Amino acid sequence: MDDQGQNVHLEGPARRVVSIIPSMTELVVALDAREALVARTRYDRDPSLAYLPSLGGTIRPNLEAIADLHPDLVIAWSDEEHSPLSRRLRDMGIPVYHASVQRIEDIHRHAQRLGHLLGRDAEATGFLSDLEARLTAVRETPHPGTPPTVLYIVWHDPPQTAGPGTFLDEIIEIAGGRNVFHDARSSWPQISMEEIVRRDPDVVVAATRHDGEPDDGGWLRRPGWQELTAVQGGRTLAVNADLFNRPGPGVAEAAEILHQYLAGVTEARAGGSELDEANRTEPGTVP
Amino acid sequence: MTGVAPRLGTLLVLLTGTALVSVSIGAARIPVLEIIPALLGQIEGTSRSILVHLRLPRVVLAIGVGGALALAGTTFQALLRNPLAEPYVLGISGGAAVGAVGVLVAGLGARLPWAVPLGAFVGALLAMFLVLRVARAAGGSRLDSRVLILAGVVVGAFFNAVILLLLSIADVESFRSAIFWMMGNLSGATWSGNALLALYILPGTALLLALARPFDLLARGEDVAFHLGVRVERTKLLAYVVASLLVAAAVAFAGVIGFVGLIVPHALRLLWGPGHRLLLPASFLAGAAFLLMADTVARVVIAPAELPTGVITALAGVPLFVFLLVRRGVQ
Repeated sequence: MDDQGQNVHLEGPARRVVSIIPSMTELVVALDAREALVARTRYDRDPSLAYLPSLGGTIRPNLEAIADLHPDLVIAWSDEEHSPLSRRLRDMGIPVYHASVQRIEDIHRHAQRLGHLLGRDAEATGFLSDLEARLTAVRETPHPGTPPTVLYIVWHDPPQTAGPGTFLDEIIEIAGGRNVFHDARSSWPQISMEEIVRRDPDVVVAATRHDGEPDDGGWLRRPGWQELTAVQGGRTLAVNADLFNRPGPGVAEAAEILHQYLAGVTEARAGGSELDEANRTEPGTVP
Repeated sequence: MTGVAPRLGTLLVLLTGTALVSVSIGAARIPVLEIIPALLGQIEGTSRSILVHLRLPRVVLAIGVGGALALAGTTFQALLRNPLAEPYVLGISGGAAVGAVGVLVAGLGARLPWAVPLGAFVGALLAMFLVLRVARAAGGSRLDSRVLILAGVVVGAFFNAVILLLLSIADVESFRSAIFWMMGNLSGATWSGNALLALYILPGTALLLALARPFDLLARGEDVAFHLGVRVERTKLLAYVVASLLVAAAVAFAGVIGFVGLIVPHALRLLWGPGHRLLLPASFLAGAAFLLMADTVARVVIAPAELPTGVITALAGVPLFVFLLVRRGVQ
């Protein structure tokens, strides 16, 4: 069963898989089924996947290129259901697994189902218990004092954040912070600079760079950012968008990185203003 | 209410009122009476930060850009004697967009925030230069307005194709940024940017305002104007270049904001007639007030998010313009 309520039936474990959802590609790899992948998108920047042919972007993948690979399973966005892509793949007799991923619990569901489709049931169980254990370990190490408010920047121009009901909202909470836009009305709201300054978060976490790219925080010179106490106090964390903006197996690592950073922030806060002063740094970067 | 001064006075009052309302409302409400104390530093905190570093520069930018676009629109309509002429008729928006989108797609937007306005400005100048060259090459020593329009259209179409090419190779994030830029928005306003913009707008506006009489005479035809003592070719070239520089500077800081330069001059002509001694300064003031209103709506209507300002100028401007047009038709 996929997220469109359709049964995906395979004769045996899938051997030739095309995923046009980067987080699901990572999940397939995490389920120890890397060798089943026959293609990638250009957003799958993991060097260990570089040998695979790229289908281009994820929004309009090249149908002919997909068909040419003779896949026995295609993993596509759930809202692709009514798109020509899904219809034509099914017309060609290629099974399509539709996935929507917003929350961490969605990762559980897809791990189990894809594990089954890939003949990796045991790996799925192992992966999920490991994921759960890592997230629990983070959750059960709280920070002293009130949770710092966190502004998460999905992209800076125009500023877009993660609202309620998203895995990032969950990760912030698990890591011991409070999402400053937890009360937003949509999942991925675009927000104005005035509203950001008004809410004045304790910490700014920004996914403005990809794997291997530098981020010198140049975008913080755009109007308004310097007015934030978080920016003035050097409490900004530039994170890898390929890790943080993806609801895949990387959520545990993302939670651990954020938890560690918030631990430093709350420690400095507990140590008084002197320590806070000493802690002033350039925008932090996580390798 | 028939002279130039009372009408300009009315527009000035309208602009001032709009500016006060605009400064006051937004994510943080700042009562009109607290604006001055906040500016003097008697009120501290986030409200003051928002006022001084975000809202005021944005209000000033809206006034400058709105005024420049409407004034340039009036100028182009006078020169080309074509009601469809607007600030981007010489391909400036296309050139600016190629520059800005190119910078964004190259992934330089995050590291070098000033690269986007610079790219847009350079692109705009390139487009203007190209269009003038094409028109000169095709039209000989005279600047033929029909050839100029045609050159603007084809150069613009070429730039549009380049933009589509750039967008189709862009990744998701820069695609979003590029689309947002092309819809026009004023969220990038800074005091230093405004100072730079003023270097173009103040002398440019003064120059164009001084051309009211030649414009009036040109409206009767280039031959008539020539016999009445207007140095036609020089006036035209000067006006094209100055108006284009105004538009290029505006586009660099605000993206492509449509309809202000088309609708405001026409609306004023419908209301108050075609005399340029009134029309030129009035279009600056009315354009400024109109863009300021549109930007205020764009800021607050779906708070805490923001709409691109260019969306509002079209949504509000077109019905208003149709109303004026129909009303004149009925009379």
